[in-house]
Amino acid sequence: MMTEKQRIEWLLELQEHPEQLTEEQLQQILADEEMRQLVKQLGFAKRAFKHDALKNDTPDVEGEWEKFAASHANELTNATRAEGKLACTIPCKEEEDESQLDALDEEKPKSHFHIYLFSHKIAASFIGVLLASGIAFAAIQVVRNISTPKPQQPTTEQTTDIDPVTSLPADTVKADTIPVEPYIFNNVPLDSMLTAIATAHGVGVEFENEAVRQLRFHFVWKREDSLSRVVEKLNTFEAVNIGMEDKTLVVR
Amino acid sequence: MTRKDVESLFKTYYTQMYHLALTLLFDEAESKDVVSEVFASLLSGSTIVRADNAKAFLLASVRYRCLNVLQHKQVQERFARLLTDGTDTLISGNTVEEQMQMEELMHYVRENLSPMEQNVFQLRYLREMTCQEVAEALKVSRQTVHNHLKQSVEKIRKYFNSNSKAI
Repeated sequence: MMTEKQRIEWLLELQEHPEQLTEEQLQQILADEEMRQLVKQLGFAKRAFKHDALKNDTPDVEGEWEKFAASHANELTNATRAEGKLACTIPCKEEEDESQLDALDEEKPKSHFHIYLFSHKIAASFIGVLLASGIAFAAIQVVRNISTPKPQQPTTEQTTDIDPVTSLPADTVKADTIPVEPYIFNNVPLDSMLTAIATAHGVGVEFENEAVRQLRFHFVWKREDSLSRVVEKLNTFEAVNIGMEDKTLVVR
Repeated sequence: MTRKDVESLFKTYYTQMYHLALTLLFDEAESKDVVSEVFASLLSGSTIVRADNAKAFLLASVRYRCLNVLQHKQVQERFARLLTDGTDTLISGNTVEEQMQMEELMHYVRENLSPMEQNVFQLRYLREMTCQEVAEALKVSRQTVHNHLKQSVEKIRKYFNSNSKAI
């Protein structure tokens, strides 16, 4: 029977030259319950040291996301199209429209993530489905002037992942097709407005004060503004008090 | 699962997931791959994540995949590098609980191991240097390294035994 010290001595020796052991020999050594415990405990200690060392480690999450998004671009696009159930209705003029829109969109990183909304009905049902399933989803809706629709050329529009969304009745929104222009919320509930802004900045929204949820505002959202700047502007409304807490906008 | 959903999960939980993978695999490239695979599996649509249990689900997925990677390593490698044995049922599946145990142990380490002992343990096991390499790096004899390492191991062993800490 080995003493504790002998066992440790032996383990350290063995670990220096693991290649000299066959798998069978190793299995035999680890068949000893005490030895197995020792190895396990040291393994845990190693993990604890690593865990401790990682406290000051911050990986480049943005960079890793860019890499992931690039290598899974197709799946990401497909996932989104499938979600919107719009995949089958992409118009034949798609490529032309897309290139035109891309040209307009030059200042932003090009994204292959497009949602085509063809009519208000589709848009409305789309939003309805999302709301029903409780997903806070963001998509910008551009209202087209429907007085001169051409059946062969359905109106299309594009959103990228940094565009805002409104889940508003279509007729209350005025928006521009050029994303860098300010986005105008006209008589829009704070609820919808904040969801759109928060989503564009990748943060969440929480209402501590339910009463203000339905208050309507006219607000010009300059999208080049930082989130804190937007919040600052919103806070100039007397009834509104928005705070920023750990990736969440909190409405008090 | 839309792009936006995946992106927001990715940006919220990447660091925690990557760190968990690192404390099992101790290899940056392998750890990144594991985290990437978890998100790729979300995209394939075979798994559905609810917002309220996303964190637990993602961390459990990382753990599962890491153990799978470890299982496919040679027994010799696992033994030499002190890698967690995938069949080991004693690892707590609960990341939070496990991290508390780790912090408790590190508290003990800081109180009871000399700086030199901690350093030798780090270089030998975390940096995976041989005793000879550690000796050269610290400009001491190989025997000194061996003695410090033995001390560290004995003390860590004592921690688990005296407090009947089961891991």
